Amino acid sequence: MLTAADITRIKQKITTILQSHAGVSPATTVNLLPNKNLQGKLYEAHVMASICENLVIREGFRITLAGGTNLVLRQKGGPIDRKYPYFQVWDGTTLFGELFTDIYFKTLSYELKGSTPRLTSGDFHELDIAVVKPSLTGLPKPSEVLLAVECKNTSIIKSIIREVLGFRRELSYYSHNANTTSFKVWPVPTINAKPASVHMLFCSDNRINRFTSNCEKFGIILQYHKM
Amino acid sequence: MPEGFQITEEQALELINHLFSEFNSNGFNEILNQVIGRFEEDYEQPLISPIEYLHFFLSQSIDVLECLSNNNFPHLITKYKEVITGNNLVESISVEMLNQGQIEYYNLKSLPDYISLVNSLKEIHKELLREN
Repeated sequence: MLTAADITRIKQKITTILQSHAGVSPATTVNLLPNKNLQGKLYEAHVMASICENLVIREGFRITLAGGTNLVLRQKGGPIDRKYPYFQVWDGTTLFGELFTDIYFKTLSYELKGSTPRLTSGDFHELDIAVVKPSLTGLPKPSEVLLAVECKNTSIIKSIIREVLGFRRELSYYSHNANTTSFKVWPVPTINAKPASVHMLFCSDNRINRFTSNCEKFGIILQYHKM
Repeated sequence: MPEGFQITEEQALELINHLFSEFNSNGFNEILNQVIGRFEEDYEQPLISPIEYLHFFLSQSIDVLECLSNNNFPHLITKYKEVITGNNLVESISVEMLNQGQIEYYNLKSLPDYISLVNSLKEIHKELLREN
């Protein structure tokens, strides 16, 4: 059993190590952005590397980088903008798709409303990482999205699951029958969605596995991934 | 209750209070929020004792800190280089930020690595679990 002196020593050790890291804590800000937000961007970069790796090794694609050698992640989403470096995904000599980060897509509800020229905030949502059909400009339509990825470097809570279920609702209709995706092996060859885009959530909390089978029914692939 | 915990419930409470206070006062309240969130979201978890909560707190805060840690950034760049073909290879990864109307770029390699903090917390956790 530990003595009172042991507890005092352990408390002092806790104080010392936390004080020594206070200057780089998640609450520390770089300009006005807390470190925790930047750590979310770092997670996005790790997930994107994993996606590239899987597309090359498991799907047999070739990937090239266009527009520079410094990958720039945007603080806020926007339309496709080729001034930022992006990845081209090749199937042999055919351009299969293009991989962007932090882009908006037009929602299904926007299409159902009649696609009015002026978009309001409910008419589009942000994709952390997306593989879309080649040569697009502006905001992709749901039918132009091949792979939609959300990244959560945070503890999983039920509201995140509800968020991805709603996100899926704006990207595809539920299809009782599995439809063929644009991928042969990875992430999945078929999915219960129409259009048959693949929707993935990467999360660094392994409790995400508790929701895998439920989300899969609605065409959402959950993936535990730690940096 | 986790086997081998060598403390009393009073000592566990004292350490929990101290951890909360120190995490808060040193800018690690995000870790507290996530650990508390994990506890609240653990619907299968019955009410637990202070000793079990201390064990939960340490194991989960270690996991959260590992998730936020920028360990081995060069490996991330290497991974990109291994899978990309062509003349352009990823040399750096930045975040574009707006600061008082000016665009600035933050290189993600500058983010902190919490591995020494993680290792110290693991040592403390191990000491508390050590058998007589």
